[in-house]
Amino acid sequence: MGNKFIVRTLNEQVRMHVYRTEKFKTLSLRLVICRPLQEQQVTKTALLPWVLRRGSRSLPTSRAVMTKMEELYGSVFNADVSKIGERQMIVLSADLTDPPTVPDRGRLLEEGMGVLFDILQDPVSTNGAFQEEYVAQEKEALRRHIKGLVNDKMNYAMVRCIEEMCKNEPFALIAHGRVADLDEIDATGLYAFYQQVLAESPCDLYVVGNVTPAEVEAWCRPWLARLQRSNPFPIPGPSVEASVAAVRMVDEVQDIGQGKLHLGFRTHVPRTSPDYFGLQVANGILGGFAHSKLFQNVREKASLAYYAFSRLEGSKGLIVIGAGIDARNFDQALDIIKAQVEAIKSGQISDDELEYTKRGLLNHYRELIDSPGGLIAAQMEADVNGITIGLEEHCAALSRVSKDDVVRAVTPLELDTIYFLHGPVPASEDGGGQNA
Amino acid sequence: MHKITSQLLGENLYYDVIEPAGLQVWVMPKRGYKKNYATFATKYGSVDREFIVPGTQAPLRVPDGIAHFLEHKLFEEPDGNVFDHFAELGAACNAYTNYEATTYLFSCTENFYPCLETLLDFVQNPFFTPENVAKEKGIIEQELRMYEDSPRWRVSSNLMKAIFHHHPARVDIGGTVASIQEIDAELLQKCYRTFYHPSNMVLFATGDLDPDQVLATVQRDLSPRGYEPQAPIKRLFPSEPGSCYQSRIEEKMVVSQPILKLGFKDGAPGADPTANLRREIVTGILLEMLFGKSSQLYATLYEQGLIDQRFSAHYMNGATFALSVLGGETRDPERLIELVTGGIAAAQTSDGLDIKDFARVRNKTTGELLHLLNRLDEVAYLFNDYHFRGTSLFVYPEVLASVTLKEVHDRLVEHLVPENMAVSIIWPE
Repeated sequence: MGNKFIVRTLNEQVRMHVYRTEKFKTLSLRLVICRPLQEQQVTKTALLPWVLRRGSRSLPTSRAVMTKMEELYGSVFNADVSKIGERQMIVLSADLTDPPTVPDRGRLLEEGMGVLFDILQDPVSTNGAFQEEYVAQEKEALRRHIKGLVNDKMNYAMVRCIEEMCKNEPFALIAHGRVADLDEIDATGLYAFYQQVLAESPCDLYVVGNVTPAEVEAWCRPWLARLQRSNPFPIPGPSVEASVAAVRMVDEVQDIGQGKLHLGFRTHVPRTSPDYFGLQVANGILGGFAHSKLFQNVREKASLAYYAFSRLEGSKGLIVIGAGIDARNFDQALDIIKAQVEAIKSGQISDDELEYTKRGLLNHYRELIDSPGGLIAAQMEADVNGITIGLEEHCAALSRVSKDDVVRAVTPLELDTIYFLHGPVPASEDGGGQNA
Repeated sequence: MHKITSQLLGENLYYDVIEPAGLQVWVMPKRGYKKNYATFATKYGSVDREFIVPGTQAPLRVPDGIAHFLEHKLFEEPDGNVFDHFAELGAACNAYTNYEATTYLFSCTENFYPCLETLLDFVQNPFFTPENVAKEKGIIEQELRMYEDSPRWRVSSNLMKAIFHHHPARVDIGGTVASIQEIDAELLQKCYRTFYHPSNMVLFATGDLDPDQVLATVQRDLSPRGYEPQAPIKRLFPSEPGSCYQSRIEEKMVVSQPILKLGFKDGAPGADPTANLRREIVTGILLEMLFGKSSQLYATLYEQGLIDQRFSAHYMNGATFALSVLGGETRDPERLIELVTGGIAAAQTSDGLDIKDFARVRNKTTGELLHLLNRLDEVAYLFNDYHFRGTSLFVYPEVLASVTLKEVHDRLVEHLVPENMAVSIIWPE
């Protein structure tokens, strides 16, 4: 597939990853700070990028930041958190417009990158504290954001299933943290925490666009000269070894029309295992595509659902199945779903299913190289998990997966939690919710 | 093929018409891309619920949601499921229906031409049986119930009901659980015959492709089918007053805080597509200047905790209806309405629109378009959207460059007025 990320370690232990290509009209940058996902700091960490979004000493309001980016031909800036396995990532992102016709494009790109570093290194602060007002406003914004999870029912059910399943593990935490932690956070403590985060966390800069590593390095140099960092501490990987004593059933009632059935499984396959490729194919056969067992059997044959899928959380060793069903069909849907999992485990996999799934996965990976954001996300995921092979080798490994590999990879797969979100029972015969 | 170049976008479009079927074929090559993407789309959406079937006289009124139902059903073939054909080719296929169009698509990184043939074949081979129509009702019912449970979807759906008296844009694209029960194989066939003639459709392909080869492939597929030219389709729309039907719709759901959508109804688009495009661009700039992330009003609303990052303002421009929509989650919808309408009024009275903001937002709009052109799915979406409204993606930057601040101000005074306004609110239970 041609190009690759060129990796260099810059001054102050910042790793730079540059993917050079001429085909985009943008230069995409992601400055990534990695933290362990932990109860004691998850909410503080989540709040940081939201406060950073409010600006730097030279661009002291969100409005000033946005105006500056818009002046760079409609470039875009954002800062937020995400989670990969049991790591929490602060991501400052800029997608800079790189129109081929602009004469001084080098200066524009350097300026755009400067905004990212400026916000990272010199956020609005006085006397060793973030601005009180910004912290107070962002605490409120974060509180509403976390509570707002319930406004998206499908995502809510997914998050709740994982929360219940991983009750005593860091993975239960959502990337944006916990409402209960917010009250005790203040502008001074948060600023001190930020200094610590900045000094000790692994920090990576990902770049995709028409630039050379040497150019990026030259643009970074003056900024890095101002950073003072110790050696980043290593962050331990997640455990995929939780044992399941008995399947847990979690039932939750909300005033909704459609039931959301989610099944959480433990794969017991680490991201670095050679069996991971077989597991990816297994998940694809189960519920990654329209030709997959779940879509075909729950939707097309039984007409029970509009969506029925399975998702592999490779960084944590989970597979989560989701389907939106009429609550009265709970037993039937659960039986069909369980039967599909058993079918794969016992090797009931047709040649077509295996082949189509591999082709579908390969297509997905090949498409990534046409998306700056997709390229960076895939590379971040690999880096975080200590995966050193590139996309090309990953595809080669997928194409070698046999039916035996699939069966071996799912042999340890274990149902852990059944989560069901549904409307008030008993459901009346006419179904309810005919309000349209 | 004919070639059109946009210097501003740095892209080329190639096109031709296959006669006598009348199918337009368009290709935008994207050098260096591994992915290819093609759509086969018909100008037929949920608002087309009353029309005259070719060869008949009397108008036919069909059940709500039938365009979407038909989209689902086209994936079924006598020899099995279309998804399997694409899966065999290592491609992903999908489709979507909106108010005014239905689009079938695939994306792939190899086997482009076999995929293209499969796309053309399945869309041109309807296979409706009483059994497969009945089966689909269960699936679509769950799809509709999924939307009904979504507060963000419901708030928008209710806004359309408040804005329009009779225009079918007030009805949800998928119809209702009750309306889809009335759909049968015969009705589907009538809709298919009316709206899936190639002259009402467009084929668009993008990726690292040779336009002539795309055209030749489509030609080869179409010629044995023996299409005759079809007269223009007669679509019937009720007359729609300029006012809103209701000023407010409120509902309670399980939400963490209220959700507000505020709409300003616009007059139906006129006969001149370029004038309509101009109105769309001018209104888009206006909304961005007033409510965009770099506006004073956005900063004020954000600092008061009345909006979050997802607050949005955009112009919905169809071929037969148009409105501006803004809003999002808020702790206090009434206060948000007050500040939004106050901000609009302030901009209207003084010289509330700044020339520097105007220049920046206009530049930004060009930049945003360039960002979208990175993505083949966006390229196809935009292409089809403008094509069906009689204009072109390539005309967009030219019109944008010629827009003036005066036009934006005139639009502000004419469009964003209380008489055009309706609100939709979802309250926590």
